Amino acid sequence: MLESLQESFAAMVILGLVTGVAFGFTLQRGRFCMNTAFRDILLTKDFTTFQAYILALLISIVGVNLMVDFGLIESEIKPFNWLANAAGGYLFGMGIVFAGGCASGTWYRVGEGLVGSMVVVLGFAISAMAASIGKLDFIRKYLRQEDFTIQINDQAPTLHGLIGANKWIVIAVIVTALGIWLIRAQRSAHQKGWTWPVTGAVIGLLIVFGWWSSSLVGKAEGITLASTTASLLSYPTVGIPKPNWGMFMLLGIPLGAFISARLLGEAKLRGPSEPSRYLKQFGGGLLMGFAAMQSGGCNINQGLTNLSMLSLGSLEVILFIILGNWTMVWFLFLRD
Amino acid sequence: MLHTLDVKGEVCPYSTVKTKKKMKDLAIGDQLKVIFDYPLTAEEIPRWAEKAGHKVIEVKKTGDAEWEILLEKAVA
Repeated sequence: MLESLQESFAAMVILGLVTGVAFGFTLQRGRFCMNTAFRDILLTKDFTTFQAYILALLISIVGVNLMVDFGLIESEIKPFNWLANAAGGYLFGMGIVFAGGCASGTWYRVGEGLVGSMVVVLGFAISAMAASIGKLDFIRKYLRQEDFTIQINDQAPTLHGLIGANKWIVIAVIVTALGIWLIRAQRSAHQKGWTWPVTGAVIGLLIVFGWWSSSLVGKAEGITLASTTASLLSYPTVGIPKPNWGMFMLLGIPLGAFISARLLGEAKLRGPSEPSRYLKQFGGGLLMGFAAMQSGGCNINQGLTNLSMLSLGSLEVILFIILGNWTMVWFLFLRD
Repeated sequence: MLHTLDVKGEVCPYSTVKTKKKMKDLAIGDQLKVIFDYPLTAEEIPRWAEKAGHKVIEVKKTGDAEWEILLEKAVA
């Protein structure tokens, strides 16, 4: 039965959409956006959304590694392109401040009816397409060449590989340390949507589900929002790539967010009154799409989907996204 | 005295940053009504205001994707 699923277009559409709708619904309920998560640490000293991210990460680390050990999916480690990861991550982190949302934040706000976020998606798709299959792909090829790639024993490095310890010992240490921090963390105050523990738990489970659901109907890739955003533009314009699980998953996100927002009475077409803001957001989108093609993925792909495999390259990307975010938040909002 | 700030169309952090700035100009005891249409703002402004030592008098949903927050300046 599983083999026939691999061939089924309908199964691909349905599994992609179901994953995306559930993910989009959750993003909207939890207001889950990594721009918010990283920015608020600096700007308002608030850790609420960051706590949701850390919980999602812990759950996906345990879940994904269990699935690998049970043979449900194969372990796939992102390459450690140290230069591309650092440059791409840093630029991406700056871009999300201009855009007013990370990849996931932007896509769920499209479903809420925020026109500014729709403009971001457009910029994102154009530059991601240019940087991956268009004239700008030479930059990525240069940055991601072998000279700037680190391997350990001919393999892409992982956290446990680096330390030389059993995977589960490393996981136990991470879960214990961050788990204690979360237990002692602040409770949610003034919450209108889901509390951070609920949001974090559901996002984590959906990251795990995404790996499994994509593996049933094609190559296991998990939830990813950057290359798929480019695909949604490149497919209708130049006919590539072939429709895949990720494209339908991505379409499901604004749909799920719209359903959630509609039920809460939070869906309405709206946008900033200053025209210059749209230009700024478009520029943010351009920067994000280009940067994500250098760093090998957006904040969700690198920060959750692939960091859950304990890939060192993904850790580098997310750390540089945070640095880029803080740089721009300081520059735009804290300087004076 | 009651002041009003309309930040409809603004997303975070602009709505919070503009509220912060406006609060600076108020006298202690003055109230500020913030009108906005971005869901996260309904959580962010009260969290910030309490941390800053101001009073959060009311957070109210006034319509489809529309909210109002009433703050009172309590510290300089």
